[in-house]
Amino acid sequence: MDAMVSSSPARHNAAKPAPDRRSKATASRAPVDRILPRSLVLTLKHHVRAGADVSAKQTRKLDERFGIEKTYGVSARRLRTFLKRIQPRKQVNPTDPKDAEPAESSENWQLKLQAHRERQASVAAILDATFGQFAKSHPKLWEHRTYLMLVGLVYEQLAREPDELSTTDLLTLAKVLESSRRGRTDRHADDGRAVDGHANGRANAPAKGAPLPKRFADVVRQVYGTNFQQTP
Amino acid sequence: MANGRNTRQIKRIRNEILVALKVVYPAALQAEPLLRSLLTLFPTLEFDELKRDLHYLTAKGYVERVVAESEADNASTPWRRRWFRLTTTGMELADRCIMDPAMEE
Repeated sequence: MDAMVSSSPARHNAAKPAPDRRSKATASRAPVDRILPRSLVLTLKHHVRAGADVSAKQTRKLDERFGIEKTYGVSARRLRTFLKRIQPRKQVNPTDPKDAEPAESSENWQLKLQAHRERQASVAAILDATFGQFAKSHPKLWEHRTYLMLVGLVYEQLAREPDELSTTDLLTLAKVLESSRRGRTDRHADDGRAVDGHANGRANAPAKGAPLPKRFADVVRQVYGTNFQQTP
Repeated sequence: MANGRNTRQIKRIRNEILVALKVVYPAALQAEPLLRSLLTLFPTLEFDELKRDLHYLTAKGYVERVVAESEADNASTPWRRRWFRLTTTGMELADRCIMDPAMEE
């Protein structure tokens, strides 16, 4: 790759964008066109609007050429999504059946859906273990809008197609959190603490008026990079 | 058929919006992260299409917009940054406690 770059005058003269030193955690949340330098975004737009293919293979070639994942932490998959978004739309006659997307086979759809559901179920278990169950008994939590929106942010990070956390790892994490939660439930039962009488076992639910979970402040710090200030 | 999508595709997308919001209920999701999570199933889904479906589901009473405290002017908040949450009716539909023929695949 280096030999190709140095031997080609056009590529050699192409402006190499300055590397962005933002942390990977910050970069992963921002839109792609804000992570990459403007000059690179314009180059990519020009490339796509000139009719270039945005297949996975071509996207990987662009990634290798500009060192996008290595320098800016943007995965090939995210890059491809961005390129497809900026690709000029084909003129489509909305009533012409030929322009509709080819029908996906039912079997393919079911497989894809099943994999997606598996991941969603793991994410739901992780959210439940981290944030606790939303039961009527703790209305204080409903007042914390930040709390509710944070759950949405966490879902967004976990539920997307894995770049950093595979579905297998997610399942393992969900199981570990669940067994840890059960362990705490059993210990509370042994201590003779009052247990919520619901059949689905909400023994770990906080009592009415209880403070936010301990890990909430840690999650806020990791997601927002700031300390959570609880209003009195 | 609307904008190149067939009826089945439209219903699937709308149902998956409800399912995604159901996972985090009663929490909310922003439109942009919601779109990104749906790209797993619908790689060619465009934001304009999602916006139309969110409008539709809001008008039907299945989804509601949640205005964040940080939004100075909720009318000028870009659509991608708006928060959406299931309503109680939307939750019932997502749980299949009620049926809507317009959403049945």
